Amino acid sequence: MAPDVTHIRLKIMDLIDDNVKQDMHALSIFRRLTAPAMARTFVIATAILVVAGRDARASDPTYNATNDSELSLEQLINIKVTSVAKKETTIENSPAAVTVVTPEDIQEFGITTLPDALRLVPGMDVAQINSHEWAVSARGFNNEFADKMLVLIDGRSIYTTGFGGVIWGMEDVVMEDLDRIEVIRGPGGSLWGANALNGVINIITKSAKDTQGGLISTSAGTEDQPDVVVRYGGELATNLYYRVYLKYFNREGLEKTNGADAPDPWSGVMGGMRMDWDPSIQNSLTLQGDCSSYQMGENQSIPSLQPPYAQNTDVLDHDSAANALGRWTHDFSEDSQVIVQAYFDHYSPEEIGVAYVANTADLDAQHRFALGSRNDIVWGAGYRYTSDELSPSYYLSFNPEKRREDVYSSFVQDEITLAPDKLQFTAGSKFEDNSFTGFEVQPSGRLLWTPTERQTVWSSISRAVRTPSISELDERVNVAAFPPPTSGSPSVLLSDFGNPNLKSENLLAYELGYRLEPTKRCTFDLALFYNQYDRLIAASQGAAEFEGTPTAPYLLIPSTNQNLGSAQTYGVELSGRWDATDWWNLAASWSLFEYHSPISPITVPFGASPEQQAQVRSEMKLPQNLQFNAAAYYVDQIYAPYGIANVKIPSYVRLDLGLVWHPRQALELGIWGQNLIDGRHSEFASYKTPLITEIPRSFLAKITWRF
Amino acid sequence: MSAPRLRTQFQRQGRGGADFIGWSLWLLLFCGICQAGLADGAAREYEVKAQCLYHFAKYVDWPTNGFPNEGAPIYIGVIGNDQFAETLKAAVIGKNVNGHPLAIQVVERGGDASKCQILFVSYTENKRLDRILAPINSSPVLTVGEGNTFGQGGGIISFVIRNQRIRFDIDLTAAKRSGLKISSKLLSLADTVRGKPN
Repeated sequence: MAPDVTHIRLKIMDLIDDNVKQDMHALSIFRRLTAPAMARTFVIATAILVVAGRDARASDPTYNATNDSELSLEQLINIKVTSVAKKETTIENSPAAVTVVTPEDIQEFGITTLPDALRLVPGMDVAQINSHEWAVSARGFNNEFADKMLVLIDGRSIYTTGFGGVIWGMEDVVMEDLDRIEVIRGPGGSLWGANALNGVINIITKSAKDTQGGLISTSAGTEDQPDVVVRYGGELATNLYYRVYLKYFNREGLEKTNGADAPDPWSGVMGGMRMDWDPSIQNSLTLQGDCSSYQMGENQSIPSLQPPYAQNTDVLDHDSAANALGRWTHDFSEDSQVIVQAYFDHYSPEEIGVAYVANTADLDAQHRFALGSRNDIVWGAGYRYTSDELSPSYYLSFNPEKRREDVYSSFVQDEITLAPDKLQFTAGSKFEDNSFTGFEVQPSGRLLWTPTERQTVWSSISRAVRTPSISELDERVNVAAFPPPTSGSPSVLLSDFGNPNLKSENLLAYELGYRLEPTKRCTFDLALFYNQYDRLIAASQGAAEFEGTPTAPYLLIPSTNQNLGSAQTYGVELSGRWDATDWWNLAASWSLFEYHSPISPITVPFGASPEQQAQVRSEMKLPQNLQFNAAAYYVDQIYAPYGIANVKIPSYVRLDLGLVWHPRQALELGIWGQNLIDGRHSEFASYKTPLITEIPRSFLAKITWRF
Repeated sequence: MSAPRLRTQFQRQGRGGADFIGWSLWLLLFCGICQAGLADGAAREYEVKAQCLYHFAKYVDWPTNGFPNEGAPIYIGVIGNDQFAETLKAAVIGKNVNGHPLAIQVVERGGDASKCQILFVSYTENKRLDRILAPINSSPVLTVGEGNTFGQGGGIISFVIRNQRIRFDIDLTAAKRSGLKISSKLLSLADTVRGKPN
């Protein structure tokens, strides 16, 4: 948890009416921690703080000046105030590029998977590979194992240490029980720790208190066979609420480029419970757990030293997962709170013939308190134990096959009010010691300025790291085999080798943001970023040698993972929302992403991300309890990694239309047409197979009954 | 998972220059924002609330049994926010209302608040209003709290923040039950008044 969900203050509610507290964020100034850089940074930061702090104190008490002259009640109730306690931070005033996807958005657009929900986020690159695989990342480096985005469900990390990234086909929630998805684009390392370079996705489900009663929902469509969700929530005792649920889905495969069915059916069953108990006003306790099992079909191309040098087979992978989590929150006072969270996670996917089992135990504690009236401090510590076991296939093997990782971490963050209601500076850092790369420091500094009620400017500088995945440390991947170049010579095998001495990948990020609310009905949000990556992990080719001697010798061309890469990226993310009338809301966004690396652009070594993306959404309330929703997405062309080269995926426009009807309060009917414009299009390529899968036009109908 | 394939040798980019420019720009921006942001300040929520409480005392008539004797202090009890008690102390120290000096008393959870003339209830207590308000339901205590929940829970005056300003609502039914008279001046300043005056 450390930087757990309760920690992100993204409240959109009135502070007084609701005392749920949450926090967010961080500052840094340290870059790579070379001594001179660190010293330089520290001196500058300190100087600014001292000067700013003094000025703030001097200029602040406009109020105190009038204190003695005793204001009348009329005057008092017309003074503009700012809450010193700062319990709430709305999106409008968080110093980061934050977007929240609400359950209403998901319901309005007939969204059935988490990656599809993330398409709604400005600048987020979501590319579907096949029915159950997606590449999801903000700010570049997108790939099936997009390893620079940290993703958590209710404070539990779903980032796999085995491969790096998230296996989205194994992650699902009951969409109706979703409270929100908070997406922070940009580094979150100072709070969340390693692997949060390009962003943090927090998937947060509702408290059991807010999911009381029964819900049955079923949907069917041209791609989705009937899927069923049953959930029931009740109250076991005073202030002790629970819910239990069961979900089953079965999706047909998508299509091949020629329109035939692709061999990628996907089905899953999951069940779970959550209990929320408030034994007293100061204490609250959450216990939750889920288990799930999935079957996923896919085509795999395994290299072979005999003709035809690759074996293409359709396989069915069996994946399973289970987790249990407990969280205790204690409020000492309105300014002081302790959260302790522990979870256990069992995770067992099959990937390209490799059976992977990871067991994770995680314990975190954090404490926030106000220090004087200007400092809001959060600090915490955590420990995570992960054991991984990877059983080999011919394509992918590991040395050693078992790994254990211990991560000890701590963090501290101070949110300093330099001028109440005007200027706020957040400084903090995560300190982590992990078994793979040792000690890592990830500081960040954020400044938030609210010049007027309707405008916000923020800026940040942060360092974040990504620790190498177990694959990168220990793997041997037999990437491709080739026939003998001349008759009589041996065949050739290309292999990538892990490197146990890898260091962390390193990012230094600069961000600038501006938000404007010209009227109550209209908001604009602009984020600019410039990222410098170094020590990026890439395979570097070594000298050819013979292997397999003396029986069947072949020429091995080995490549070894090394921290050789560097890259600069920059971009713009612009979004706006306009509530044109009480019954018609519009939202739009556009993003630009540029990538520079000293590597030839053709090899696209670190994934692929579109240069431009845009979307427009319209939500329209009609008479008779009807709602009509439309969304159009534009995604630029990319050169997706494809075997040992890349393939051009053309730009596409996706149009989704939906009609939702509430004949009665408790009953909801919806029909949606998705991807209506082109018959089918591809969005990404797979590293496992030369087969490109396309997303066809589809229709979906859904009925939901609450009781 | 499988490491990015990279068949060309390349060298790490020297970035000293870019580094310095990046730094300088950020610093410039930082200073600019600091400068602009510090130009203005805003009053603090609880300092305003403290002043308001003092004014409330002026516009409320307690029944004669509300005070043990003439010149007895008006006790303002504070529950759930000790820091506010300090702010309040600083704001009302040495002040009198109709010959009664003002005094502050921190009330513990479950403590007796019936000896107070005014009781300020922090929003942190809004979940247990029943337990706080029920025992003093018919005592002459002016209860002041935060948020709509407080008014709905039987409190007399509720502070609410509207449009970044501290406003208040009054529940006359609750006031009458406590035997308090609230002046029409105070009623006219309230955003909403529930219940009928007399």
